[in-house]
This record gives sequence, C-alpha cells and structure tokens, in this order.
Amino acid sequence: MTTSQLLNGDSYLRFRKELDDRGIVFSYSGYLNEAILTGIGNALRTKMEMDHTDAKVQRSVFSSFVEQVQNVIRYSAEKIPPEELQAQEAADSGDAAATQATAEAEEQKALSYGLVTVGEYANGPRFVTCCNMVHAKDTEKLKAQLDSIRGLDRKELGAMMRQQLKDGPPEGSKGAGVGFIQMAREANGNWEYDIVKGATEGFDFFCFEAHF
Amino acid sequence: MENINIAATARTPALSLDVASRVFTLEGESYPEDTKKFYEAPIAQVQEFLSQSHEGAVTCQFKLKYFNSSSAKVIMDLFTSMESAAEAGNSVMVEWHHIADDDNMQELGEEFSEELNAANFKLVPF
Repeated sequence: MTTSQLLNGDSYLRFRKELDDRGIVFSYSGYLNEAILTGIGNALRTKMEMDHTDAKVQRSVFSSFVEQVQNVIRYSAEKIPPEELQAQEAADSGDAAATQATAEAEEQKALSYGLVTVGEYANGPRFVTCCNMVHAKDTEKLKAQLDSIRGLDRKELGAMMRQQLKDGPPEGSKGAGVGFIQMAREANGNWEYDIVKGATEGFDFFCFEAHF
Repeated sequence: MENINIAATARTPALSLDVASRVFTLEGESYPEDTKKFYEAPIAQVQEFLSQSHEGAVTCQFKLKYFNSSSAKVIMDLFTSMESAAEAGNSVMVEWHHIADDDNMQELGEEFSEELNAANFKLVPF
C-alpha cells in the first residue's frame, strides 16, 4: 500500500539492489570531512573483524580507504571552502566572532564532495573505490602522475616512495605526495583509475580503485 | 630540555621523549586529522634533542601499527635527523617494531632504514 506522494520506496529498494549487485557493502556519496572518515573507517574495521577478514587484507583495505578519502577531502573540485561555511554560521548565529577561527580550525571545516564505496566483486577481489570531480585543467597532470607508477612492482614503488619523501611534496600537493604510491604498493599493483567527462564544462570525474 | 609525553588517541600515536634515558618512542596509529598540527612542535623538539651531543646511546623506537602517507613524511624527517645525530658522533639505535605477520610494515621499516648508515637499525617483531 502506498501512502506517500513524493517518497517512492520501490525506487530506494532498486537503489539498494544496484549497490548489492555491485557487491558494495559500504557506500557514501556526499560531502566528506575528517569526522566522516573516522566514522566510516571505524565501522569498516568493525565489519571486517566480524567477518574474520584476513588481518593483512584488513590493514590494506583500511589503509587504502584512509588515503583515498583524504584525497577526496583535499583535492575534490567540489568543495565548500571554510570561509563560506563560517559566513553561513556567522549569519545563522549573528556572531561575528565565528568568523575569527584559527587557520587550523578553518581547514577542518571544509567539506568536499565525493563518492566512497567498499565491497567485494562476486568471486573476486575486495575493492575500495573513491570518485570525485577534478578541474579539467588538472586532468593531464593527474594522468601523468598515475601513469608514472603503473606497472611498477612493490620494491620499485617502495624506493620511489622513499625518494619522493626525501625530495619533498610536489607542487600542488597538500600531503606528502606519496599517497598513490603507497596505495599502489599495498595493492601489489592491482589498482586502476578512470577519468570521464563531468556533466559540467570544465570538470572531469576521477575514479580510483584498489583491489585486495 | 623537558620530557615529552603525549598520550595516544584513536588517530594519533603516543609520542614520548625521555631526556634522561635518551629514549624517543612513537607508538600506535598515525593518521591525524591535521598532521602538521599534531607533529610540528614535538618533532621540532625531538630534532633539537637529536642535534645535541649525548654521553650515552640514544634509542628511537617506532612501534606503529598503521600510518598514513602524510605521516610517512614525518618518519622520513626523523630518520634523516637520527642519521645526522649518528654522523655527528652519537651512538644511535633505531628500533622498528612491527606486528610479526605484517610484512608491509616490516618492508616499510627496511625501506626507511636505507637512509641509515652511521645509525644502527633493528627490526623487532611483536
């Protein structure tokens, strides 16, 4: 019996079934921040412990999850900068002091849009996938960065990581600049990416997936 | 110089420096919300400590179960400072503790240890 005008339960059931059919156990689409990373990360670890997942796989999946979500938080082109959030809060509370937060606190307040899924292919590997919009002008650089680590083995990736850490982060990096190298290493080279045209001009949709 | 004694949280490791016994320890998990904010002050102090001349041996213990790539940069900086301390004539022992079956963490320790020449290095499974 249907009592709703707007809410369509069947459409959500189909949505849920599509996730199930893809083997997706965890999915999040929306604005992300560090607090959400903590929350989903804890649930992911608990689920893997309950499933008695191999300890090495647990560690690799969790590590890839953290790196990928932090990539979305740092580099998603769909980002609500902290100033906007603060201006909104100040307007809501009528409190000008709210605009005077420290730089660190400001960074923690940013929200970045992305998709995160964790699951298991039928009779196949587990996967951790993250997708986010990137500025189309940055796409070639991103591709070049990823193509430069494709096909490298564990040992080569380890040496590359060490060199990069010594050299310092590349221009535009907000971390150590070794996140992709570390993920490729832990996935033993079993990772892939795809970049497709975004719906909006000037944006591409970047997806990265690691298999375990 | 004062001792450092920072307790672990879910996303940050315990970080301690015992000046009298010359032992630095980093233990737990490291994926801080803000890597710079967590590490900047204590690591500057540890590096200051390492830059001094010490009568007895200096021990640096890493007992990490997990660290993210931003934290890897901090570890590399520490290894560089530990090697410099040894080159300056100090006796420096670097211990890399890892879960016994964690090949990944063991390999990371071996990779970082490539930076060490004058300093001693030891893998310690637990």
